[in-house]
Amino acid sequence: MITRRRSGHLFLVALFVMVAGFGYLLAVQFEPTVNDAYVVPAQNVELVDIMQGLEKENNTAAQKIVDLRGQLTELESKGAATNDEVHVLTQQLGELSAKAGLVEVTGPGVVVTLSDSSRTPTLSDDPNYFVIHDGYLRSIVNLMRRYGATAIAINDQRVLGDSSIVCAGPIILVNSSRMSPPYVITALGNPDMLADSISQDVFFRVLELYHDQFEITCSLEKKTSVTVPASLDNAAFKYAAGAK
Amino acid sequence: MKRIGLPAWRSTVLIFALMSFLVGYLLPGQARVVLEMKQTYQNEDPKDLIRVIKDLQQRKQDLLVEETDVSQKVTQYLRSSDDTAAQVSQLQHEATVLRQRTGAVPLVGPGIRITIREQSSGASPSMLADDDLLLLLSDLWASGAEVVSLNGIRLTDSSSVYRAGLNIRVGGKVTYMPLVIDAIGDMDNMSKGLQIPGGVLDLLNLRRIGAIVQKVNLLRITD
Repeated sequence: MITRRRSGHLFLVALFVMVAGFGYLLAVQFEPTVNDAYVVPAQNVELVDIMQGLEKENNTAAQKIVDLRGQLTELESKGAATNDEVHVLTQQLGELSAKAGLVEVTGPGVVVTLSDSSRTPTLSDDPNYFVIHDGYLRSIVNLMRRYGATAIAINDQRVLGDSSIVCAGPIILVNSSRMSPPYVITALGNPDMLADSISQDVFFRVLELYHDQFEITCSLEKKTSVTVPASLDNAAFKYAAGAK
Repeated sequence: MKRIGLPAWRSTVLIFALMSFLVGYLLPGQARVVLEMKQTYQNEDPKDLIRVIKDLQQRKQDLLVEETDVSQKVTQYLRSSDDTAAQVSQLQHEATVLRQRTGAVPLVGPGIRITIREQSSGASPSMLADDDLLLLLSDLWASGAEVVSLNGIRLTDSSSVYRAGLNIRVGGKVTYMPLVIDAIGDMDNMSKGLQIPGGVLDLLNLRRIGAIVQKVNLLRITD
């Protein structure tokens, strides 16, 4: 009799937990929609639309630049075949363009991949440890330069000496372009030298600790071939001029 | 009294099965909603989105400059296909621009000079960290710097910057505090960009690292 009553109670408790859990899920399911209606949704929707529109325009312009540069290289090559002086100058120009980062380059190197944690921080966690910050990207790029990288890119953006890596809240911008995680940092250079030096650096070890503790993505791979895109910026300065 | 319908244990199993199904059904939906919110920035601060839009507009302008420039070069080349002298002149001009870009020639122009001094007195002396310097340089580039030097050492694409004790290593060279950063570019924009409330200079000042920004009409950066 007592056993029967106890199992009845157990059933009620289990049912309560299940129903409460179900109710909670329902609430969470609809909460974002309700909150969105309350917290500036129209403004954000409009801003996101503008942002995506600009990104589309910039992608189209980037492709146009790549096409036009290809056309120019072809014309210069044709011209080089007809005259010795033009040939020498075209060759020099090719070398200078590569040095200025205006040419796509392929070769051995390393790839560092960073991404936010897929784990949701609890109330006792500091959420800052669960996301990738712009400072992490700056430090990794700086490490790559320090250990001999000859060309660097973050996602589709070539990183040159004058590239800015900044943030606007949680959004990271490289060369004034929005980056989405995962942040893939590619460096051309001696893979062994780069990988060994970066992996032993204190900063990278700290990131690995964050990987273990907070589950951010942090990986370093040696590659026999990586491609770093060309910079699409104009090489000419607006304010700086050659000194006499 | 005889019971009608299913026995109690069967009802329990049935209820649990039904509830588990619903919970399982809702979970992926929840995960999707969270992911979509992250991707579409629905809950972000509009100020951040406006900052991103401004940067994208700047990027649009930069790309337009390059598109126009390359397009003009193509047109000029097509026009001068039989004129070797004109081709040579165009190539020489392009080479000059690239030599300036790659740090092969000294440059002059308007800009700003930032002098950074650490506080060596007191119980806890302040110290400029690698992160501070990288943030400051990134903010400088973002606000329109074209060429930058640290204590006279010009930064190039391969320059790394880091502290090694009291030394500051810039590429393969060593320098020391105080640090004088010269930046040629849009002086008003750079000055404003660095001195926004809560910006990099405020952060340095909070840590008792003094930074003075001066506008200079003519800076010279060699190396």
